[in-house]
Amino acid sequence: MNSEINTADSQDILLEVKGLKTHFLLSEGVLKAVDGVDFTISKGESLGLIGESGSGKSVTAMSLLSLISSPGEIVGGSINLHYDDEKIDITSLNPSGKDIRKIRGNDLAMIFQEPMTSLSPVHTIGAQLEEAIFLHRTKNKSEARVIAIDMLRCAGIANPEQRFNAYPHQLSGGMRQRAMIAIALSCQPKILIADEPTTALDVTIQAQILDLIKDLQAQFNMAVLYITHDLGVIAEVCDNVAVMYLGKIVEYGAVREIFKNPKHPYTISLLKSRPRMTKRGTERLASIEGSIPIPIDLPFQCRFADRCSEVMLGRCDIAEPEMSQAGNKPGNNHWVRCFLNEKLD
Amino acid sequence: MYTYIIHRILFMIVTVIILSILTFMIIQLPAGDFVTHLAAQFARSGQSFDQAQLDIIREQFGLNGTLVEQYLAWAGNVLQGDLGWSFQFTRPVSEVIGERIGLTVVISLSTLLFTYLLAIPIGVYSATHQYSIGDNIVMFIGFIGLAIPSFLLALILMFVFLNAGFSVGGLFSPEYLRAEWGPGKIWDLMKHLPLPIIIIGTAGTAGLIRVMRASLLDEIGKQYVITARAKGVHETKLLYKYPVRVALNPIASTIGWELPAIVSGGIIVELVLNLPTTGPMLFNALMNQDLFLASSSLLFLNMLTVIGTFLSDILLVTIDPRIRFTEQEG
Amino acid sequence: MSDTVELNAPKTELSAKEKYYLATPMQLMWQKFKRHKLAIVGSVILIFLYTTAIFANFLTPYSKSERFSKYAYTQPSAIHMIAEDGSLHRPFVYGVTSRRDPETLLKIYTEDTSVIYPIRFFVRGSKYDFLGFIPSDLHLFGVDSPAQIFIFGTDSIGRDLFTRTFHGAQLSLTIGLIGVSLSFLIGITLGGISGYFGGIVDTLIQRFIEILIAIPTIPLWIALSTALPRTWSVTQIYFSIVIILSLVGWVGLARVVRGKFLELRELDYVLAARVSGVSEFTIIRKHLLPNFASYLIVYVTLAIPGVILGETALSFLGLGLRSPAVSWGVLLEKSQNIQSVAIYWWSIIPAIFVILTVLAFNFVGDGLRDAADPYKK
Repeated sequence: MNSEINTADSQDILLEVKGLKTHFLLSEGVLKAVDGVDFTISKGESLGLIGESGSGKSVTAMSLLSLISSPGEIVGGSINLHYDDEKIDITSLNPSGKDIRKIRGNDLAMIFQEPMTSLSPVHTIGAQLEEAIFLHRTKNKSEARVIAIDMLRCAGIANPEQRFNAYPHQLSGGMRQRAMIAIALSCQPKILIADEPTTALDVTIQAQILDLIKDLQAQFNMAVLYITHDLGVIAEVCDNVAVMYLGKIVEYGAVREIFKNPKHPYTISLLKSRPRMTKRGTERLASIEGSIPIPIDLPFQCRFADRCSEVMLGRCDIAEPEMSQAGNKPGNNHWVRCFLNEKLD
Repeated sequence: MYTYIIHRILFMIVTVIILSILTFMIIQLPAGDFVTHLAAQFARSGQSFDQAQLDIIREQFGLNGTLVEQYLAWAGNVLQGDLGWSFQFTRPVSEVIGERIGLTVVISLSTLLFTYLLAIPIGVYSATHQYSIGDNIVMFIGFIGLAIPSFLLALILMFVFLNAGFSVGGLFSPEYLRAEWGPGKIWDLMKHLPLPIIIIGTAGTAGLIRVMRASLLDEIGKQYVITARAKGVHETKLLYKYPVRVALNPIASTIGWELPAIVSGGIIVELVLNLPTTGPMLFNALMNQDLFLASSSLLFLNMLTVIGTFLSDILLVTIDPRIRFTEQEG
Repeated sequence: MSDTVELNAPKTELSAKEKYYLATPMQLMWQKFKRHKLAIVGSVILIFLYTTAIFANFLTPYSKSERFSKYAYTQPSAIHMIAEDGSLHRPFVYGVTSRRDPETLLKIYTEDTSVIYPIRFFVRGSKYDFLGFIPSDLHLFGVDSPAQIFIFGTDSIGRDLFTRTFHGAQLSLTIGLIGVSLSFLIGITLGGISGYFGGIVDTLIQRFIEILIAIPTIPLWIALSTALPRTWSVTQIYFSIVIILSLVGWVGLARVVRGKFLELRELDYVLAARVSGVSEFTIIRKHLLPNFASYLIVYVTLAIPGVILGETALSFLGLGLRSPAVSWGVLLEKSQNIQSVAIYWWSIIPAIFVILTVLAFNFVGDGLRDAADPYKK
């Protein structure tokens, strides 16, 4: 239905996610955290995946590396990683097997929100950095050390030789995230998945870290998938953006297009709830009514219907909309999952 | 770090002094003294005992002085290496303790080893197989191990061993009791050791399994484990290198005060099993107001506890870089 | 407002999720506790044991010191339903006759199957004061003279172990509660003072605790118990033992309370309350205490079995409660000798009750601990 979402040359595609479903089998019922997600990432692209907490964006990111643990499980769809001459479907690999371990850290690397907890407290930065290098690049000790120190320098860490022997708690939050980035990029992955990389950092540090990722992205020619709830991050660094709500992508398009011409009521309210510099103090921030439901036993209807200000009774509450192209221009790479858009046709 | 250690050592010395005063006072709490016990004993057996003789004995051991005088006299002697005289055994305390301390050390250290070697792997298994049948069985046995008082376990196991045809009670078979040390006697000792070790160690093992399981479960879900997995580390290596390593820190550091706990907790078991160790000796010394034997052995136990706690803290500082860091800062 | 509200409005029944968000912490705790099967089993066992302790006089056929000199060390009475001739009856026992084994000199009891003594319910027997003040002689069950019913057998001087086990529960079970209450009082006071005031008071109390902790527990118990005069009454000994056992118990609690105080007083919402001018006492009462009430409940539940085991151990060694007092430990004192246990195996039946009680408290404590964090899934 919507495999044509991305018009990029299929030669450039690195990762192709189709109908991904990740469910959690809880005693209260099946929690459908990710329930049919499609997107592609091309070489060098920056894709932003935005949504509230509970929208399933982090679970999507974890699914890409097959890092979902019990009671969670990838129950459907495919995650195809493209190589020059073959494709590997990550969902078909044993999540604790040898094949997926070759991909993790090597082709797909990940950085996390909380740089304090995402590094082992009892191992030095250097040891944690070298571990990935030993796994995927070289078995030679001195070579690994050279690469590791080089990576720390690349990540903007001053005195990398000394920091190499430091423990995570001896570094500031920003430094830790730099170290984390160094670890993630140490094997020059094709795609970096950045799960809320700046959320836990001070605002000034946030910009530095985003700039660093941007620079390194160009340097290593990799694609980055940003998982965030911060529209600012999207605007700053992404080419394309996918808006996620309750386990599904509800709108997709180029960042400029989405910011200028949002179609889905959810995207519209997200953009409205953002503080702006224009009318000083005169405008109250818009908020979205209600809260994101827990995706267990959802009724068959538009997932946003209960909170939507444009809800059409008799339409939105009896069926689920499909992705459809927004606007009439053919080739316009802007897709939205809303009956309002279908109505326009 | 060094100022910290010196600081701690000074505090340890003060603690041991205060403890020795406290225990000396507690031992003296019961009405009368050993001589009263002695007089009562002679009275029971129908022998007459002249008050003047009793006073001479009291005089001889300084039992007539005030509590403070008695303490200072004892403490002064201890500092010079003289642990005093045991009334019950009518021999120097150092000899009485010396005879038993070796076996106590053997039993306590083996129990310690048994506890940790058993509890840690089981705890790791239980945490990595949470809610599995194996985990449930381990948890249930753990509960029972904690619930059965050691002396009762001693009775039950003795009953079982007795019916299974093992020799029970004591640490040596009669033929080796007075024998010189040799391979035969050591082998005989080895055969007698498992029972007391199991009995003394069960509750501790059960407790440690629970601690290990809970602490590993805490760590296993942490972000750094996922980070390592995202690097492509092998699952088994991942488990031992990261969460197990972190979960072990607090447990490894308890070794220091686990030892005195075993020695003190073993007293009742050693009594029931009738072992030639320091436990029953201390018990009888306390019961019969064998003042110097009781004070001196309690002094040993207190020192063991204080030093054990100190070693625990040092161990924790050495193996956990986070703590090392704050100590240096502070 | 918008349609959103109207969409949700007609619902009168609260959904499960809404109930979850509206529930008080106590309700949430109970919800989680109910799901912990072992904890429920433990609660049932405890309720049963405490109830039987209260009604021990009525539930048992004899009084606790009643002696049947002809029945020393009788094994538990066999309860039959089928007689020698194969006929079916209501549950009954036979009378027993004794003779001495010429070799071992032990008494051997054999059933005399000629007369059937059915177990009768609500029989009149020895007099007692129900709940301590209502005179009564009604017993739940019993058999007609001259037969006797000893469900757990008898002890060395022919006292019914069943009766004594249930009476023993009264002391053994309450000593845990009273002991822990005492530790609780000392612990929460000193811990609270230490954690709240900090500074020199804190340092002094902490040093004191560190010294106390360094005294090995069991030798301390033994030393203190030997100091109790033999001439003291049961009540005096009972309370002395309680005090001795709580001397050690409060230390841990004081540390927990202090730690929690230190942790909580730094939290934002406490700061918020202080900034808005709430008095210190109200902050403690309304913000701090409710916050660790659940931890205290868990701690106390898990501390009770320790005290029960302590009493049992001391009495077992002959240092705790003494005859004529009856506690499980006192009943087990005679079992110190493995040889006697091997012959009179029933004399360790009270131990099963000790284990059951300790297990039950641990189960409940475990369930409470899991439930104590109401928002943790």
